[in-house]
Amino acid sequence: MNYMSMAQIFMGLAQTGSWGCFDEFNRISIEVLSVVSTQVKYCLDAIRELKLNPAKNMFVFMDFDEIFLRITTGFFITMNPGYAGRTELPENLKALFRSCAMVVPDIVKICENMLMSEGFTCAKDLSKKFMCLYDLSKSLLSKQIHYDWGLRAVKSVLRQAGGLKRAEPDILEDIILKRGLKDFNWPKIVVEDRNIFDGLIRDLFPNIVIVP
Amino acid sequence: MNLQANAEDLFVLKVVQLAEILDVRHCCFIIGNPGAAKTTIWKVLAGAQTMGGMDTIYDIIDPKAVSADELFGCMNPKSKEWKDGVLSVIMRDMNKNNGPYKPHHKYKWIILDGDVDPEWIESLNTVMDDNKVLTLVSQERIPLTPPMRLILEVSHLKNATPATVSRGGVLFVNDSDVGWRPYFDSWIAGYKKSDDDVADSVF
Repeated sequence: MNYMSMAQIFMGLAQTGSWGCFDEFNRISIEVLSVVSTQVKYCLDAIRELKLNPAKNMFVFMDFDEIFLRITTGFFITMNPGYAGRTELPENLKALFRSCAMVVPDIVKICENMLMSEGFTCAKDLSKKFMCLYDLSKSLLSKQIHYDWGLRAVKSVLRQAGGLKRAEPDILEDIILKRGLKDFNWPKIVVEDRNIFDGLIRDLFPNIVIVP
Repeated sequence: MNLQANAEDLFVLKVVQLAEILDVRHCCFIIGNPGAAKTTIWKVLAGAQTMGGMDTIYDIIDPKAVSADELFGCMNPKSKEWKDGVLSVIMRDMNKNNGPYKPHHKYKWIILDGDVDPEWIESLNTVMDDNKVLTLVSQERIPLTPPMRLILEVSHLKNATPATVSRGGVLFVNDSDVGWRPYFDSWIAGYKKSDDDVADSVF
């Protein structure tokens, strides 16, 4: 990503008055980011002026021609700070954006609702069991980089369980979820953790025999 | 296809697990130490699917053998000329059924065989999540069609960020899952024609 392609995006957003969300913004290299901060400044200044004087709907963006500006233009950035291969945003760019920290969502609620929308009737109990298993797995199993017990992993298991449920609607829901959880996670469990994970699943779904 | 491999139970289980992962995910990491049979697992699955009437075609790229620009393509800063990269060409051909890829192929895999580096894997984030679109610097967008799968064959994920890990399914091949026995058995099978059972008795 160089500053010219960023300029194209900014000019497009300004002229249509759209909102733009830059995902993984801190993957842009630091040299480009410092130019980007001036670009953002150009736009924000022009928007501020437009607010005061609605007649002034043209502005000069960097050293390009004068372009049209709509008042609704907006920029947003989403990113994961502190990852490997990511840059720290420069201070002057940070000053142009309002920062907003996101916290870990309440996965139990999300899980319950997704189970319900996939057609499970006892979603409340199942979602509790589900999250219990993931919480315990996170703390009891060995720390492997490839283990992921986050929201994305939860969503894929639920989608898979939904598929199983629709394929065989008459089977007990506990069995379906247990099978989904086991099928999904088993391939990535390392040898030393297998017994623990097996034990966890057995404790959470007792008296359930999986018929293949 | 003849890989001279034996159908060990644990090995077959891993192949089946890979098939199950690929059913639900369009992107999968196969993780295991060298010699853990990572390559053999997907090759056997590809062969088995082709034999079962689900034609499977694959292309292997070593992402660290080329620079990120050569992998995804880059714009010449002077002439503004677009130069395609290895991955973008393969993905576009698979998407449009150009070249060796035909509509009858039920599965089209891109195998990225080589260690993960944030330099290139992060650019695949949009492919690996639900967007399923490769965005290039030229502002071209190549969508992943339903038959297409991305398989990353790596020995570890030490350099991968959590953002990357959470996006793909994971098949972990333990050293003990396949082990050395199958290697020995298929190697010795090549010698079995000549009478001696000495080697067998040694192990």
